[in-house]
Amino acid sequence: MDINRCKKIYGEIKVSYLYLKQKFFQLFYSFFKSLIGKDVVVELKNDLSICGTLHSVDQYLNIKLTDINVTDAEKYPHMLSVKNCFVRGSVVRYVQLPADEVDTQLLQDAARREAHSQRQ
Amino acid sequence: MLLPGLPAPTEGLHHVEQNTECFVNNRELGSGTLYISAERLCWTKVDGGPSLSLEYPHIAIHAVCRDITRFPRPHLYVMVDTDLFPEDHEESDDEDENADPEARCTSVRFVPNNLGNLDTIYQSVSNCQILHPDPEQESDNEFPEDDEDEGEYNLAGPLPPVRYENEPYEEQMENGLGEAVGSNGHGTDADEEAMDEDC
Repeated sequence: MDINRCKKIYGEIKVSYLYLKQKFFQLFYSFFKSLIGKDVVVELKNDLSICGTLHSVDQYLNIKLTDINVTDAEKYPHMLSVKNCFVRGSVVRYVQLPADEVDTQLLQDAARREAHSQRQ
Repeated sequence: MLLPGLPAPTEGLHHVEQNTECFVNNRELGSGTLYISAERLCWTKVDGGPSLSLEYPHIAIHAVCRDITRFPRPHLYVMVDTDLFPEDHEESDDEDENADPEARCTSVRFVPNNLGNLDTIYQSVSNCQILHPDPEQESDNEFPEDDEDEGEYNLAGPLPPVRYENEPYEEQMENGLGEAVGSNGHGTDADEEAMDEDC
């Protein structure tokens, strides 16, 4: 096993990964901006789910929600029914979207374009 | 993060709020000064005593809460994604096993005497949060450099082409890149556990 070749391929994979990640961030930033004003459910990595209206999103996919409600109030009684909240993007596991607001075909096409665009 | 006598930040201050009470998991820490600096969110108690230093990457949520039916006074609510007081969870989780590390979080409430500043405080924390995006770190656990035998790799040819199955949107988010896009894939242990649970 040629260690240098391994390292080269690893480097190529990492570059592709970082490029794709950046591209997908941009893609989903645009995508989420188009959903501002819609009701979403944000599920965090600690299993807390918050439903609310998408107020804004930034390039790091931080999310601001308004009129929020905690969907599991018994498990998380300390999470009060605040009006607005700022959710750090890195703690989000899922964002549940209303199905009729998402053009999945459009999103799939856009994702494929980004993925293929980085290949020479 | 709860250290006595921690010096207050002096640089990069976005906002300072005096006469602010602090509650951690409903545990009353007393009155002190809240410092919102670009580097960290800090609260120091008057006359010394325990102080609190929070790093923005660990602040999962922050919000202004004015619902006095749950907590008697309007305040800034901050959810920290680590356990500052593990004993709080041990006491309250007699029935549960609390084995899920993902469920660990701490509720911190800052109650300023001057309620009119709550929105300014919230905005200052927001402005500082966006100064701390997750770094583009090397994800060693996803691309191991060691000679790990995870299977046979064909190193002779070019990289395999990217293929997308005609899957529902949610599954594509997970499988397309091998990780959940929503998690930002920053390679922390918490990310790994979340992915394992979901897959």
